[in-house]
Amino acid sequence: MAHDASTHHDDHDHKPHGFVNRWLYATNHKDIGTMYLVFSLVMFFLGGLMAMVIRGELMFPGLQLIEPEFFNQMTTMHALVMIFGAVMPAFVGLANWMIPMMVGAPDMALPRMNNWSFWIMPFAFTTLLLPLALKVFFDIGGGGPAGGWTLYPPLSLQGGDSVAFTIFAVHMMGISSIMGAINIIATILNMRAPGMDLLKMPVFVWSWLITAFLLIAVMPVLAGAVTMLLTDKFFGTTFFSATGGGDPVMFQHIFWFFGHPEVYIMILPAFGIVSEIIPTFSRKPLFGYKAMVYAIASIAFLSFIVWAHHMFTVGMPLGGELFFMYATMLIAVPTGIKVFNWVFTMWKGSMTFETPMLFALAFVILFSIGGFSGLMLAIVPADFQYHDTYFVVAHFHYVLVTGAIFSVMAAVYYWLPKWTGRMYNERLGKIHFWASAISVNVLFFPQHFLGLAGMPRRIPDYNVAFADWNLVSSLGGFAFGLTQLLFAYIVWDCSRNKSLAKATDQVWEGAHGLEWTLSSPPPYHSFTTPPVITDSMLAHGNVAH
Amino acid sequence: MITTDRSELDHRRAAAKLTAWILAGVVFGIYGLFWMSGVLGS
Ligand code: HEM
Ligand SMILES: [Cu+2]
Repeated sequence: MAHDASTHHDDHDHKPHGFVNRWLYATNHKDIGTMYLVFSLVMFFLGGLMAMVIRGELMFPGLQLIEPEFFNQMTTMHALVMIFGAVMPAFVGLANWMIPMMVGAPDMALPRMNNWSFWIMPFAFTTLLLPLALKVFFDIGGGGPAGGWTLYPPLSLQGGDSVAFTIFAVHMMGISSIMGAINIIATILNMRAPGMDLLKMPVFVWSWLITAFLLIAVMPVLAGAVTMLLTDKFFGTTFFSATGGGDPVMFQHIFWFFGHPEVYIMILPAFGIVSEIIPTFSRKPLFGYKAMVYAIASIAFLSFIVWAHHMFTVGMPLGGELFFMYATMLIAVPTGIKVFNWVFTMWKGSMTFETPMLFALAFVILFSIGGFSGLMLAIVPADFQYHDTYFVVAHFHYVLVTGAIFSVMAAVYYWLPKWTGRMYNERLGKIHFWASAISVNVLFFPQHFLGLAGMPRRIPDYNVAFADWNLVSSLGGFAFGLTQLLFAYIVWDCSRNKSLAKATDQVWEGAHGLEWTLSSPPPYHSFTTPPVITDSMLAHGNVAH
Repeated sequence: MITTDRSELDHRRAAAKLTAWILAGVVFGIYGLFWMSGVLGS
């Protein structure tokens, strides 16, 4: 674009004409953010459909609907689709939309690489889903991967050709994530408007900066691990096979060196989101801004030295078990700091409870439940009981569904009026919140009981002793799944329905930060000239002194 | 503090590119390291 042309009419839209130009060749951070978010929603429903199949099968003891082999494909694909297709792209979408507007940059640092990061994803997921789709729709081949999302050999290598598809797809997702992370770091470090010092940035931006470093550190590790799986299966190496001098447990070490930071990749941006929303609806500055930033950084650091808490039962030296137990428990300290700071932010604030705030509050409470069950799992002798039971399933669904996904929903309700220029239907939003909050607990809380009673995870059938709570859990699951259709409707309604109330620029009475100084919806190209930043425009006031 | 001069923005873009290349180097380094760990470890 010619330089002088854009300075003449900054506030006019220069949207590219035509579908292909606008979306396929997209370089605009808002368009790419939208595509990520839509992609994520589609994957959320696809993964959700698989969850419905799983809960349908588990509703009653005995085999009901599907073959055990297909059940294993469902659990494996559900996890891969939700983790890599729903949660991660949702956060990347939010990063694309919000980070440039929050730091006063005109766009992401590398807009064309940004295009590539996104467009790899549909291809990666086509590859991942192809074996399953061929089996389901045309009865071709053996179906999708069935060895669990953790891909442990030798089991994962006993699958058919789907192994190669899965590994190739994981590589593509990894490349996409790495390019996304590089873009985010470069944007935050180099593209901030003058005056937006690091310690004046919104906590959401901080959380993404740290998350992006985690991604850069561990996605290549995952890539290395799955490349070794590939050569073990197809090229005769024995990295993970004892017959050739390799070691299957080594895979677990490498996988979890990726895997544990990965779970924090899915929660740190959530911390950032909640740290933006709670001050707004408490009408008070965030309590302990710097402590929040340092806590995120400490959690990120600790996430590299706890990985073997996923492997307590494989047989490690006692010193190793103790080290990983105590290191894991240490994470409770910075996590506790964050929870207390959110509570102190609300203390004596003039709070209101619009839908984003409701989801953020539910996050604080329900994520903490997941944190507590995590602490229980961190206790080595206790984990010998809990490992591979439904207790673990309950734990990670509290941190991932009522944690990560609730935060995404909070973020969507919070920023949707900014994106579309219209207020969503608040009454429907509240219904969506309460129906979700109740059904999600009916769905996952009984899984604690099932796990403690000894029900193993990843099985299609179970002892009749587990029947009652499985029925309750399944009913909760169907209710939660159904409720999310309402979410899709609300979002669609807000972006299409012209009769909805127009949003103001600030949208929320207590909102602060650069993004709220732009119009709603913001111009297609925002901050093409850097804004002059005053303390009153900062998300959390001037915290630097 | 305000600048309507776009060369300042171009400066920042150039710096961002350098950051990106350095990070890409780190990525390949880590990938190689873990491959190596597999070779040495087995
Ligand atoms: C608050 C601190 C946390 C602690 C102390 C903790 C601890 C643990 C432990 C010890 C396990 C292994 C249990 C077993 O397999 O026997 C585990 C599993 C898991 N955790 Fe956490 N966790 C915490 C937070 C989180 C967060 C924030 C997430 C994600 C957002 C998460 C996601 C998971 C997942 C996905 C698994 C299961 C992995 C699998 O085997 O498939 N955890 N956690
Ligand atoms: Cu972990």
